[in-house]
Amino acid sequence: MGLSNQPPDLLPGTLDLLILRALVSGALHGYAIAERLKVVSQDVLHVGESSLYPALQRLLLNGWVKAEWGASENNRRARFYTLTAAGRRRLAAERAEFERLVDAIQRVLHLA
Amino acid sequence: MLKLLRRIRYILRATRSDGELREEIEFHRALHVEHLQRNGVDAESARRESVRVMGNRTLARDDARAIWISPWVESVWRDVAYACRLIVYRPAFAVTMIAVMGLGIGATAGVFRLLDNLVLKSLPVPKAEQLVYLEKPAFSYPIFQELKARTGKLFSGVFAWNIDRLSVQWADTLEPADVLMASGQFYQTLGMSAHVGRLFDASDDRVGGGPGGLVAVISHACWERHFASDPSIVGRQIRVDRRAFTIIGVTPSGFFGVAPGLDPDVTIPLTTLSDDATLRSTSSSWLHIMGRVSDVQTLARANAVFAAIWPAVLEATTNKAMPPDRRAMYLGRTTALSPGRTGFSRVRNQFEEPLWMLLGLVGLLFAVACASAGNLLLARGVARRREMALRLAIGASRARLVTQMLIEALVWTLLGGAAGLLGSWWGSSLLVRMMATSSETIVLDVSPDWRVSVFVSVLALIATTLCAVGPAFRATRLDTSAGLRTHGTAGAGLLRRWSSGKALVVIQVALTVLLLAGAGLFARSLQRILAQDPGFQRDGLVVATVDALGAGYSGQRLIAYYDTLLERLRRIPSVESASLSWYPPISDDMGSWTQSIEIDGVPIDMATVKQVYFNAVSPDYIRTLGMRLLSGRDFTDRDTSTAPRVVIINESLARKAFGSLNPIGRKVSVGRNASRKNLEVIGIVRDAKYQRLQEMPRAIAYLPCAQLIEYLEGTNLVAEIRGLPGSEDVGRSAAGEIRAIDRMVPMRLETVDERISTSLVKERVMALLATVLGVSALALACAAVYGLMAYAVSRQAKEIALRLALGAPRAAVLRTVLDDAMTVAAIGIVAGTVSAATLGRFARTQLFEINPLALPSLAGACIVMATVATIAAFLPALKASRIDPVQALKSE
Repeated sequence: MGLSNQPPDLLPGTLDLLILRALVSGALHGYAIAERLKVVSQDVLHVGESSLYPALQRLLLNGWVKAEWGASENNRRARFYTLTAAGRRRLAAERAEFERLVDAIQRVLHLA
Repeated sequence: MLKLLRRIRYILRATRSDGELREEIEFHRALHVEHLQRNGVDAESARRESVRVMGNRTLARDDARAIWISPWVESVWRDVAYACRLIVYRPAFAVTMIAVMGLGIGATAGVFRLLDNLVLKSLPVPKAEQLVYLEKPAFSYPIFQELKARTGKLFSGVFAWNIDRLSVQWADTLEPADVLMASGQFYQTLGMSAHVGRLFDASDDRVGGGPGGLVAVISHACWERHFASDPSIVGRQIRVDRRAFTIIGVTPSGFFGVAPGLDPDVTIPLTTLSDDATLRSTSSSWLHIMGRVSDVQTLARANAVFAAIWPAVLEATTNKAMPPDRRAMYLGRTTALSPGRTGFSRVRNQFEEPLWMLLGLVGLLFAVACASAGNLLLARGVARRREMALRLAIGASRARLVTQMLIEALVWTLLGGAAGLLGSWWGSSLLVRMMATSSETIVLDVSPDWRVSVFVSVLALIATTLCAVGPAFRATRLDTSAGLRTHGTAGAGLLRRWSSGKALVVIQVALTVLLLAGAGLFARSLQRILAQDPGFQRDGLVVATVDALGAGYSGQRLIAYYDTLLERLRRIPSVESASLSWYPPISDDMGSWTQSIEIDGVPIDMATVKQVYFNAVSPDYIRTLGMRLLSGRDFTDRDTSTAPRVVIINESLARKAFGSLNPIGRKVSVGRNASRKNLEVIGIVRDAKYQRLQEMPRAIAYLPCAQLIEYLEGTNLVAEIRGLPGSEDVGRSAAGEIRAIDRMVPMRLETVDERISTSLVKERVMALLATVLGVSALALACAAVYGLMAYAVSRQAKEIALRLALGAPRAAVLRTVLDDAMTVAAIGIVAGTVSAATLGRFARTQLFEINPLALPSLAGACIVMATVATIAAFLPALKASRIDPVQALKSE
């Protein structure tokens, strides 16, 4: 269901990895995560709510992030997500796996 | 696991969680619009742009939610809601379903609850599985003492106990109550601690009391009932069997001891009320023994250790003066350890088997109810066939539709189960009241508990599977073409040769016949018992039980009391005669007195007369009971303690011990007691029932009360009173006289018929409940036959109309319908009869002189079923024969 709304240029499952990575430097609310991904990717990755929030719920359900309500920069109520210890481990594992995969793809593209 | 917990937490706070998600997405959207506006886009376009980029926000929220709650949960929820709405839209159908399931599940749960409490549940003590009890239920005190001394390694604790009905004086009332007498280690072995005060221990278990004197522990229920939960209860006094006891503590709520079915109010140390002779006697077996196996070892290992100890225990307790054959018999006694997790109880011994049998019977009713529900669902499936076909046509999967129908059925079954659970509380307590008698209380906790709830839920699932799976698949089958339905009949009948509906009705009829046959067996057995000749005149005979000992009489005062009692009873104008005896006619739970005898110095052959039963009676006993003296004379007032010792024997004893010789004038010795040597036989009476109506003729000897005066303080006497023919108020006058002698003497008056009915409580409960279950099943089967035929007639109204139009006589149509119904009923009846004949042997132990295969009960069940089925089919048949051909054919 949510999958069809995902940007076509993103490999399935990568969004979770990117969100986890975005949270490494500290707690962020949903919009800030989307902004961070957009800015860091130099305007390549646009993540809509329809894929962002299901992904966040999935991470919450698995216990990789936790959410707390707090005040945003301009003092509005917002839900902030933080990495949990399990989330950090997950990030490391996913990242290694992802890099292995990208390496493999690179090699195929260069040599095949 | 954690994941599941988080999921459940989300669902539990669903509204809040959804709200948070919505707020979060709104916030996101707002920030996005702001961002666009900062970049110079106007408000309206910014909003539209954000929607374009971000997508539909409700969809976003639903997708996010779906992570937590899978869509199928929601669809199940919708089905449940739909099933509940049906209760409003189709109340008749839903209520019938719920009532039928409620009946089946409720009845089963009601019986299960009693079984659970009496038989299955562990004792309410820590680690009950470590407990063991000694088989062959009763032992003497010396055996217990030896056992305790020798099993220190085997048991971490061992105790002996006995429950007796004694007179207990609370603050102002004197009443009989169940008193538990337990040895010192009782509470320690069970691992109990006091709710208030302390519980007694080994130091309190001394003859005459320990350092604290005579002490007693009361139950939590007794504390509430008699002392209004007074926290300063410790130190209060009660009198048990005339002796003053100090209350030292209250047991925790829910603790009843080790005998399920009984809840003794008072517990006292074992030896405090016992006399030395009883404690020293190796021949009086009155104690149950339980122990806790010390470490985790198997019962087999514990038994091996025990088997090595047991002969030494017997050896140490044997009486050296015993004659060798008796001694060998004593040493030959065997016993073994049995699992004691559920305790040991006479209530259980009495009712366990009948309750299992009842569970079997209610199980049959449950099956009948499932078949009924299945039929209802089948009919409903037919009515919904169009709906189902439509939904299948527009793409719903069959699995989805079947799931929906199963969930609907489950909802109804669970509602029925809930209704049944409510009803079963009432039913269980009613059953407990039926099982208890005036002299034997039964205390069973029938309050709600999770075990019964789980049982009901499991039953509901089984019922749903049994009754709903078939109909659900049938209703969603697309190929049930109309052609098959109408042309399937071969020959003249209306019913298809085979259909699920028909099969269900056959099952119902068969089970009903089985239940009816069972009810017939139990009812006839009870009838048979009641028709037994007791050997005395039952009508107009009243028994008065007085507790003079409990009221403090002893010695000469006691003798004087009984003399006054008999004299005053005899003086009542409406009384023809009165007498006293040790045991009343139909002694039932008041027990018996048995001994071996010698005739003219020669021991009687144990093979011909296993046991001789004794009763001590006053003059006029034989006349009062209306027994017949065959030869010799009755006791008279001249047979006093100083007169020559005499005995009257009954026919059976005369025949077995003397054969064809005349016993009158011969000398009989009873036991080894010098005072009962060489009693002269002075009369022979006809056999009379001693303990209960269903007993085989027993060898009985009657001794005169006056010559056993030294035993008078051992047991209360009872009085038998025969009124003059036609006098109604003998009981009331007698009660008045007894009260006039001494108000403080507790008494109970009952007719012998009441005693008989009390002694037959098990048989009556079985007969009554089996009949109720049989009739319930009959009602369901009757409805099923009616439903089947009514449906067949309405579906084939046209075919019938055509036949009538072509000249078939109406009587022939009537007969066709009836014939069809009879065929179905007949198959069911045959199946039921065969199963009744097969299963009947399981009831044999509960039946009295009735062969389970006996024709009358089987034939009766078949006739009742056939008659009811005919009546049930008659209405549809009549309707079929009255179809107006013109009307029916025009309605095309």
